[in-house]
Amino acid sequence: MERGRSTGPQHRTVTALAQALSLGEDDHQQFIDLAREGRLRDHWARPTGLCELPRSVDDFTGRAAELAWTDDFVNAAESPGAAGVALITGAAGLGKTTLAVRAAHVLRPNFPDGVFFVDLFGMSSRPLSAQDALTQLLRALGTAERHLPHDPLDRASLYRSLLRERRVLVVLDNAGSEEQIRPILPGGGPSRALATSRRLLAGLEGVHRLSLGPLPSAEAAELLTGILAKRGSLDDGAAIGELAQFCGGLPLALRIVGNRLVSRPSWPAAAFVDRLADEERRLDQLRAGDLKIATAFGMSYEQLAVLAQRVFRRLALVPGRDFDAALAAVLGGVSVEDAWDALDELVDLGLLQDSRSGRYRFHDLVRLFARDQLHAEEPAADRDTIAATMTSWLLRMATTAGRWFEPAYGSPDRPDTDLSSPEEADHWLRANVDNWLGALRTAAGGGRHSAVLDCAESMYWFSDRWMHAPHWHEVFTLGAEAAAALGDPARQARQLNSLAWVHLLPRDDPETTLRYTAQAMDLATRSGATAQIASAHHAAGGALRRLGRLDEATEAETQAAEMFKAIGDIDTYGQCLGALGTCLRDAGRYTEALERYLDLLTLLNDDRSGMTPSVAAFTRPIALARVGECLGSLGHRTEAITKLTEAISLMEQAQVPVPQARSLETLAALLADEGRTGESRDAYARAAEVYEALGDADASSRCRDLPNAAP
Amino acid sequence: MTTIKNIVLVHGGFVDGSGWQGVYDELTRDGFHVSIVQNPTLSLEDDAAVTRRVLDGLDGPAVLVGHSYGGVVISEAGTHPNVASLAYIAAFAPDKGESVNTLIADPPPGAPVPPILPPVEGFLFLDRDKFAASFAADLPGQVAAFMADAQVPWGVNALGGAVTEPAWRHKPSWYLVATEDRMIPPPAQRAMAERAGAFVVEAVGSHAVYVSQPATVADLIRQAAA
Repeated sequence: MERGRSTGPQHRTVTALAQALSLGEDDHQQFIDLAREGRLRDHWARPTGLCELPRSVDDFTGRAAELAWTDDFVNAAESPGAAGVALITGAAGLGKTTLAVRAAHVLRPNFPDGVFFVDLFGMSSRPLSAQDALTQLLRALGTAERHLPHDPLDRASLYRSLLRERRVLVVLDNAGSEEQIRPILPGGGPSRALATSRRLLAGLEGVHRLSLGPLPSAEAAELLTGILAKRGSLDDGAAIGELAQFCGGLPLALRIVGNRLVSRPSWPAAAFVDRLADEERRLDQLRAGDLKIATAFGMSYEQLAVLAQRVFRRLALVPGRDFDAALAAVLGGVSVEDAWDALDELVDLGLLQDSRSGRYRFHDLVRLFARDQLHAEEPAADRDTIAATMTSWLLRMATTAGRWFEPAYGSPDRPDTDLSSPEEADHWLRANVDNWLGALRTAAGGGRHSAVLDCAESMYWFSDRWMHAPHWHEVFTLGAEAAAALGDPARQARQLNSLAWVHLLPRDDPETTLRYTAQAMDLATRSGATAQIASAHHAAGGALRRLGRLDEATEAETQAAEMFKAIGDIDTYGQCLGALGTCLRDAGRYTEALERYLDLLTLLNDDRSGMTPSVAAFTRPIALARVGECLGSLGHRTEAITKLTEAISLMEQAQVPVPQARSLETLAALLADEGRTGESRDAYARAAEVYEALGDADASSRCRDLPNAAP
Repeated sequence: MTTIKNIVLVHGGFVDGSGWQGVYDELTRDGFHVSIVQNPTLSLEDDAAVTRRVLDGLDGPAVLVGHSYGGVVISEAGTHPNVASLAYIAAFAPDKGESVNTLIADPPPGAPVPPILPPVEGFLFLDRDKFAASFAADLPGQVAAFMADAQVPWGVNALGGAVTEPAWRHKPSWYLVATEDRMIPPPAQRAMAERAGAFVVEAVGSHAVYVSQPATVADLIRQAAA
């Protein structure tokens, strides 16, 4: 299954091996981590930072009473029944987020355990789910992905207990509903949440609510004066006052108007006031509240070059939350260089926000304005064409990126810009997941089955590198539906096997896995797709073992092993042998388990077996340790000690401390049974050290106490 | 889904119902039927009667909203069967037997003292020079000056009127605390809101928050109507 290109083991192989060899949770993850280290560094998480608080605007103005209010909220004695939650509500453009971010920076000294920020995208068509928010926060709080509980309630309770133990402030920006925010609110203790929402979220109890009003006229004028200071020329106070009044105390409108004036230094503010009044009349079909803003946007939009206008309005079509210059170029039908220029201009005018790593996003209101412009200026047929172009491009990029990790494709002949290495492909897929997933949905809805299936298939190996991403179920479901629509049972079986994997590993739901493998088996059998039949057996074997149905699991893995061997897929054949050994061992059938592990070891030691060398090297110490354990269970202690000692030495070299510690502990027990007390003590001491280095205090003290407990 | 379509707004002392214009605009745009009670503020009995007459004329349930002394009126008249819920906007929410007089009798130390002039023939006025700072600090100067010069005399009997059966004991209530209020101290507002078991929202605003922040007031009323 693996071809020459890769220098380290493919991740899916490694995960499958870890699974087959029945590593414990920690061993499992460490194994995977190490495998990954061998291939790629620093591309595991989506590159969005861990709930980092954005920096505060430099020219934050006014809001003294509001900041005092947040200070009171944090410092006032906790009244019984209060939830430790402050909610800032108000209309769009009032500066809720800016205020919350400012307050969080000011309050930071009160929260020695950290200040975290999550944008809940409550007003978007796809708000962040409470579960995803919880996952992000737990990870930011230092919970490793492998320690995240599967059950949503357990996850919420872990989160609350962490918040009770620590003193942190969580800023929950742009909440859309009570359901979305409730699971991520603290429940007692010294931590606090500061949330913003356009809605009052009346269903939340015990929450301190502050309704944010418009900026008072003096503060509005002050903000505008500050921005206009960059113009170098002095505008008269009356004109600034009029402009400020025109903006209705909305900081967003004030900033956009201010930036617009800065970009045209020769225009006096007074002339601008007249222009705004005209523009407002033109846009009078809009509601009063949004009118000020739309008018302010309109003045900036009008000033843009034709090309930048086109890029701007078409960006309203982007399905995800943010985008890069490449996507902007596709939408605008321009070069990436031109797209950059346009984006720079849009950022300067405050129509777009840029972020770290070259990504851009709209304020919700600006996106609505862009969409209105798009509808006003481009006929429906053209809009459809542009949207279709974007969808095709996103799918092509995703498919190309995904295929970097597919052994059958590997390095493309003519790499796309931005996708010229597996690292870049990996980064692109993670950073753009909202966008390509949106394109996949659109294409599925539009019946573009072939493109959808190609894309879903291209994600088979990549999905294993990003195991805990929440959307794999959807991706492979869309793939399976597309294959069904195309009447291709073999490819449908492959998608169903991928779904089986999603439910077996990341979701730990073996029952559902079995439903998918049954379906996959049926389709694969009908279409004679041997590899898919074998995969279904192998996945079913894993699920059955997880369920403790060991005879059935053994049967399934035996069939899988034979089939993979027959079709020459030696890596997977090796996995099946390991899995067989583990099934038999779990069933207490040590003699048979030993045979399977020895078969595996023979395969690993045969450099002409056809197994990928890196996979073999990786698997060898674990297989040896299993052989040693089985020998020990069978009473062949001397041999067991030899094998374990060899395994431990290999683990030491490979720096896999978790299985190493466990093997040391097993070895120590065997040595004690042999009466080799001194060696046993040494082994226990080494195990204790390794456990301690791993931060496992319980296991460490167990290993320190055990030799003394012995008579 | 909103089932309540009627909103009845009751003003407080020193002002008349025209201050509700901004709130009226917000709510009528959403399709609410909004009535403004022009209560004379001479006695609680009269004001409650005037309010009940408006309520009698409605075709269905209403949110009854009071600002300042209007809170006393809605507490008294709010037991009317057409009232579904109550909204207090920087308002008094007296308990049984309490009046404005009893509620302001014992101000917390350090609380700003409203510049109410001594009664003349049973009528009270605010010192017009201090009106803007005490009542309407967040309104443009010209607007505050107009309000100061357009004051409605407040009858001492209105201040002395005690509530017989406070409606907030029977109906859900909502409360907007004005954090910069120099007429009714915010801590007193919070305490009355808590006592009424009200859903509380705070806003950085003066006592005239119903004029300066109509969108915030309308938001709370919409919620009370939901």
